[in-house]
Amino acid sequence: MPDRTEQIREIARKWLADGTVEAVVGWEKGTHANRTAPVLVRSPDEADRLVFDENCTNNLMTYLKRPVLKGMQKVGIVAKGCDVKSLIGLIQESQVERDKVKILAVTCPGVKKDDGTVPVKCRACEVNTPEFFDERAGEPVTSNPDPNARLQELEKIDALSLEERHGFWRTEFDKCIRCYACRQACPLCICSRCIAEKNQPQWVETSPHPAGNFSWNLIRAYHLAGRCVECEACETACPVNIPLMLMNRALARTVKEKFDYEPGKDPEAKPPLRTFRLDDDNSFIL
Amino acid sequence: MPFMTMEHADLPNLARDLAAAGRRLMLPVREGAELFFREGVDAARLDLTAIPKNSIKEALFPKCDRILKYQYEGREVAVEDIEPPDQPTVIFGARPCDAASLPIVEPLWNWDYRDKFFNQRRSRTVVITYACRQAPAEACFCVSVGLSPSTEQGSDVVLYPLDEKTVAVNLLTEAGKALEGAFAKYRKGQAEDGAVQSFREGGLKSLAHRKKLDKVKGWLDAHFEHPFWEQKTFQCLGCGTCTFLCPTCHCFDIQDESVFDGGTRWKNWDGCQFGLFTLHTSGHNPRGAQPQRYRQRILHKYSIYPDKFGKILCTGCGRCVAHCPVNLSLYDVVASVQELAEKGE
Repeated sequence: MPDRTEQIREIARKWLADGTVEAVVGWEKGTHANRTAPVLVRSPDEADRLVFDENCTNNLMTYLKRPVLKGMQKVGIVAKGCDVKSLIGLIQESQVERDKVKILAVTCPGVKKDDGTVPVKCRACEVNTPEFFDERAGEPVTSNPDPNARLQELEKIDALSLEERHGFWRTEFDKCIRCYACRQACPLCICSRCIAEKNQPQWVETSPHPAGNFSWNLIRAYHLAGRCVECEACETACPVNIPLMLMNRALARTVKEKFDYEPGKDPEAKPPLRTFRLDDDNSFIL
Repeated sequence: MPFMTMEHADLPNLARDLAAAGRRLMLPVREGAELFFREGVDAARLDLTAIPKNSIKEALFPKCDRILKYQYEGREVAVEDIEPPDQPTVIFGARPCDAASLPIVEPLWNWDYRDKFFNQRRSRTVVITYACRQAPAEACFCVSVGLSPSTEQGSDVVLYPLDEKTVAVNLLTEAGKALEGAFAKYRKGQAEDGAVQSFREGGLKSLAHRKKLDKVKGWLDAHFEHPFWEQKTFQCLGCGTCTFLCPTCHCFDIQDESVFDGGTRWKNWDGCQFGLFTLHTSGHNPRGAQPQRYRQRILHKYSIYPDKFGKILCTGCGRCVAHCPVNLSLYDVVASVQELAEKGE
């Protein structure tokens, strides 16, 4: 049985040769031992650049925002289960037309972070074998999610008093340098003009002082509430190691509790924070 | 004149002594799996086992800096200049590639305007550099830009860790020699003849695999339009990671933050990789696509800055290479340019 890398290359080569797609976004070998880099291949003979291994941590869906890809009729994209979830979000929000993207899904036993540890999302993964795809590479992998993995880290924060929590986040946000790697890496940060880039009026202070950093990080987390699929692209990209996923998981927990909704599962679903329903709970305002 | 030696284990004590004399102290400390240069931390936390993720530029060019206050009074504006801090500062445990950035950026801060926010801090700062016995990271390439793991430029004192136990001390400048007393307290002996020279050679050897980049500028100047840029930079996210971790990047944005009729003017880090960096008020953006912005980064560092100031705006510290979230290695890009130039392409 050819391995995942071989299968991905074969499918990509075929798609590029018969014109199914104009280009394929995937991963290629990086410049260091445990890195891979996102790559755009445009011809069948370039398909051999594509690889898949436990270092394929980046979520490639973020590249679907690029004008170079938006201008193409059909784009192929290699995707792990978590990446597919974010694509489902993009389709729900009409950011990507389903028939313009060919999903080359790949089964995935989990990736490794730069320090060799296993990300929380992999410990909690239910989509090792993606079900939403055009073609899929790799032997099926049985999902064995740890039911506590995602919410375990929140217990420490839950146990803090409000003042302690403020102190915790103040320390973390003080590190922020406003590089916006979190935003750029996130597949669901899709605004052509981010709120932090507007100055009429200036909604968010751009200065990386504590007040500005609180504003930025909280607003970004809120803008992703009910949309974030916990792919961890943001936290992985952050150069100053802010535990962004704590916020994202806390908000996901609230959305699940209040709306019984989990993003990234059903392309037909209507995300609760973007949908008006007559039976919306109004008890807290009326 | 032989260099004095001291024990490696005494370095945190020395750092603490220097801080105790009313100085601001910046030093590398461990936070989780990585090191960061930090101020206001206990000197006992000094950790020299790796190259810190951030650079020392934060001590001289902070990520945000108050530069003036203003207050509207009817139709008049009262402006109050803010003076940069006047506190003696020690950067303890900079790497040679950090220290070397200072003489590189100094002409920029003194070009057509003498930036007191940088100059004041610089004049009050002493740099004690911890030289590299071996290149501390896979991403290092200081030798490719004319530096080395024991380069002295920008340093007031250079420490050579000859082995796990022994550190040789080179008091280079006046400011460095003024600390002689502080160092003398920990003197254990003197370095053997040739020990420091061996040290320097060992460091260079550890980077022997790095390319010379002597043909890069010529190629850059002749190939502004070339498919290379689009092919090579697809994965760039357009974030500020490389820019903000870089010791020599220095672009800044001025922001006025007002509350009703008064406010503060800030000077904040900015970066050419952001989409808005060159957006004109007309709506036109001469660098509207990421390959154009990345090309600019390379051109500025390896061609435009050298034309203007005679120095490459890069010390080969490798932070951009190691920490780019999408593994776009600046070294790989310039090494590829060198290869293209060598092949006559």
